Amino acid sequence: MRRRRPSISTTMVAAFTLLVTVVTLLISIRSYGYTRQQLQSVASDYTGQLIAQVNSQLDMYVEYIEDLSDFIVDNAAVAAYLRSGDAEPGDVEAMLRHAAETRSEIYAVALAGTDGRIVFNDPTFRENAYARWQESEWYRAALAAPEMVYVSSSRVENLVEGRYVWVISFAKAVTDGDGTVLGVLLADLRYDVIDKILAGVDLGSRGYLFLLDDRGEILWHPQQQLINAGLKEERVADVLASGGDPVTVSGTGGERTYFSARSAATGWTAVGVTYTSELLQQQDRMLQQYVVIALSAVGIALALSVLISRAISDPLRKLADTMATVESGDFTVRSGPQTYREVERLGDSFNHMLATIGGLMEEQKRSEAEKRQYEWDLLQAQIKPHFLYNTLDSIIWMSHAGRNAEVVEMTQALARLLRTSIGSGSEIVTLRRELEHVESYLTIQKMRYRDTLRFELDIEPDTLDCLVPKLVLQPLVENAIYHGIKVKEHGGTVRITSMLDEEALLITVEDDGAGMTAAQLAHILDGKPGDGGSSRIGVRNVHERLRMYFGGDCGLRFFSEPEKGTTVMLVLHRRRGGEEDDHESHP
Amino acid sequence: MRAIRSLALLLPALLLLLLPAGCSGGKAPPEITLVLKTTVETAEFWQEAVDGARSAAQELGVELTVTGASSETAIDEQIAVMEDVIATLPDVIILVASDYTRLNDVTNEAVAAGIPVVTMDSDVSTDARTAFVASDNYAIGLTLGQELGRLVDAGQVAVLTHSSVSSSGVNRAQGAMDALADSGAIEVTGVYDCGNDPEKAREIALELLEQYPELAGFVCTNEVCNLGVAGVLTELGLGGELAVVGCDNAQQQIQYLEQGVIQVTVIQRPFNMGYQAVEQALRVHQELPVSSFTEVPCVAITQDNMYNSENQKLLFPF
Repeated sequence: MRRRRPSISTTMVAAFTLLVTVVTLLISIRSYGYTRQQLQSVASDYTGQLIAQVNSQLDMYVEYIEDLSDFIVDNAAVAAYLRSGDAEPGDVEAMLRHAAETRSEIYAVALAGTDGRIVFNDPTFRENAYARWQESEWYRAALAAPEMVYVSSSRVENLVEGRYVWVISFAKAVTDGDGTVLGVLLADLRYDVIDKILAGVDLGSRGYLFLLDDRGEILWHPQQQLINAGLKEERVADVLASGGDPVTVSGTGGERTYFSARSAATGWTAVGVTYTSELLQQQDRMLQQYVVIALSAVGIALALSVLISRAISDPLRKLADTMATVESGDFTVRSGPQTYREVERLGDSFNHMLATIGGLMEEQKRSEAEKRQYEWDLLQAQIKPHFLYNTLDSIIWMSHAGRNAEVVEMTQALARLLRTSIGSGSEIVTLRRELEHVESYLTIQKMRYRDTLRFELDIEPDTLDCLVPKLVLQPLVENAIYHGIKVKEHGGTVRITSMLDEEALLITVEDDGAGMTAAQLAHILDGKPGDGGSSRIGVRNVHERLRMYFGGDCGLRFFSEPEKGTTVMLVLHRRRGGEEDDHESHP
Repeated sequence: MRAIRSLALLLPALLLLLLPAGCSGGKAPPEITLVLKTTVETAEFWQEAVDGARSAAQELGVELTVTGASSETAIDEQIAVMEDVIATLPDVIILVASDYTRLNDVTNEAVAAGIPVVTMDSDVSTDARTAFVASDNYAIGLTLGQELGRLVDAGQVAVLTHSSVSSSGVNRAQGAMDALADSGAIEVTGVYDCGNDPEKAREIALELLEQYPELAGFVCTNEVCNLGVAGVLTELGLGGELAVVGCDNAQQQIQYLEQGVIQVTVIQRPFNMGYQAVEQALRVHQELPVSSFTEVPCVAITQDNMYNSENQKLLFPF
């Protein structure tokens, strides 16, 4: 079986779609990969910045407490108070109050003497007798390293009676000029300050930030209780070991990444935790967008390629349809105007070709008709001298025999015959005139063949004015005589009839001569020269001329049986003439 | 040519396949509704439980709604709240039942509507609820008894309870009794019910001190009993003379702990309870196996360890 050939449009659509899809895919994959990288590095940068911000804010408090301790240490009143042992704390208290007032996030500033006295910034604060602050870490650490600022972890400050406040404590030893430690300056930063600092941090809906102190313990965590209860663990060791590089771990709730940065001033490490799934959600959204864009691009390309291929293939198809019409025989159709120059040129060429073919066909038809005419003329030219010679011979014999009356009759008939056949140059004559002509011919032939030839005319008067091509009967009669009657011993009768049948004019030339076999009958119109001589050519010529004048449905019909005779029927369209005879008489 | 055409058909089809993969990110989070006994903000215990629940919801990707009645004793109101919640068709309901039996019907109703119920802190008696997350009151009682046993070698001790009808009062007292019975040398004078009334607690403490001059210690099942006993001891100048083991973490209790009037306080972890309730509710929603009871362990805190970084965070809620 033959495979169907691909159409131009399908191929074009396929090629376009493939091209656009491949290009779109490549671009999308590249952009997606690039954007994914960007997203990750942005997340990393962003978290790093947040951590740095948090650290710098915390560092600020360390600087504050250092400045404050420097100021207090240099202050003579403080040294005097701590040294004296009994002086009123009024001046010291006022100074502490001023120091605390500058920052609302400071819960309390206290000066704790080595002798057990303690002064607060707020006169309403009363010392909690059960606080045991001498045992507390801030006090002991500050004494142990007098030059350093001690920074505590998150703790509950219980120094003030009836108050328990979450703070981060900053402590520094106060020394007099010779290095003797007189006491410790304590500043408590409200713990919720860290909440405030960290509340502004956005690490996605699930991400969070936590702080580690310099001992690696969790200083602040949004889920402190869970950590304490062991329900949640942070990879503190891994984070500290990483030295600031991101650490990615997987666990319940999905993969998460730790970003960390250590502050030199506080020694604290801020750790940001982001969930990979949230990053992936953004990526999913991105992927979705890319797919939508890619699909629309392919869709548009598809639509465009369909349009373009249509624009090319449609005019071609139209042209092909026109050609099919021409193939079925109609040379009058023409390819219409075209939208595209290339196809227009093709159409023009096609039209030109059609015009040429049409012209050639016309030419062919005309030359064919001319050929018939020439043949006919030639035939006439051949017959006439021959017939004339025979007739004149007959006349000579008759006049020798003294049959003058017959000589006259025959000569008259010959004269009539010649007149009608030369007559006007018109090709179309009335049946009346044609009969006149054939009657003259028959008269001559009858006289020549004496008793062997008889003829009868049975003409409907209505048919007399019908138009027929000139000289259509004589060849048939000649044929009947030479091939039918002449070969029969006792001669025969030629009978000519005419009648009207609806639209048709029917004329028959009958003879009761030799007749023809079916095989002969089949070849009667082949008209090969030599086979039956000029009379056969004449018969074929009549047939052709009838068809030429009246169309394919007209012509000769033959009915014949051997030894019974032959009937030739002329089938013509009924055309009335009358005066037309004279009208059409042109040379 | 044929290959090109099949490729041209195949590639857009592949792209189409990618589309749902890109869209799958937008799955709605599970919705869990927490129905409290009370939504009053001064109820510190419940607020902490809510904090824990919210913390879990954020971490586990759950959409949490918190609602409840106006007071702990408004049982009918809580039933009405439950009805409203069932109408919103959440994925799971966490219920803190204000009554052990009266919330059974509405719990059954929720389960019949296809909403699993997880109870927290206070259970219902119907089997329809899937899981229960709470501190074990009997375990709290045992800890109370054991801690007192450590402080008192021998002698008489008294057990003060806040209720002889509520499950927490009864079970804590029972736990303490059982633990003290194990210690042998300690004699329990009796279990005394103060009806959660501070005045009554003081009266009982005074009476006991009078009745049993040799009394060596107290077990107090909650903050009210504890403060009553500590107050009386301080007034009589007996602070630190007798061993007192209490429950909860009211600020005044902490002060007594600092002063040495109270030696031990056993505290629950409401934050953890809220967190674990949401965790269990999510497991129920995800059709993972859950145990019918999840215990939120309690912690015993003493004067010496109260400012530990861990304990101070339990003792002093943020």
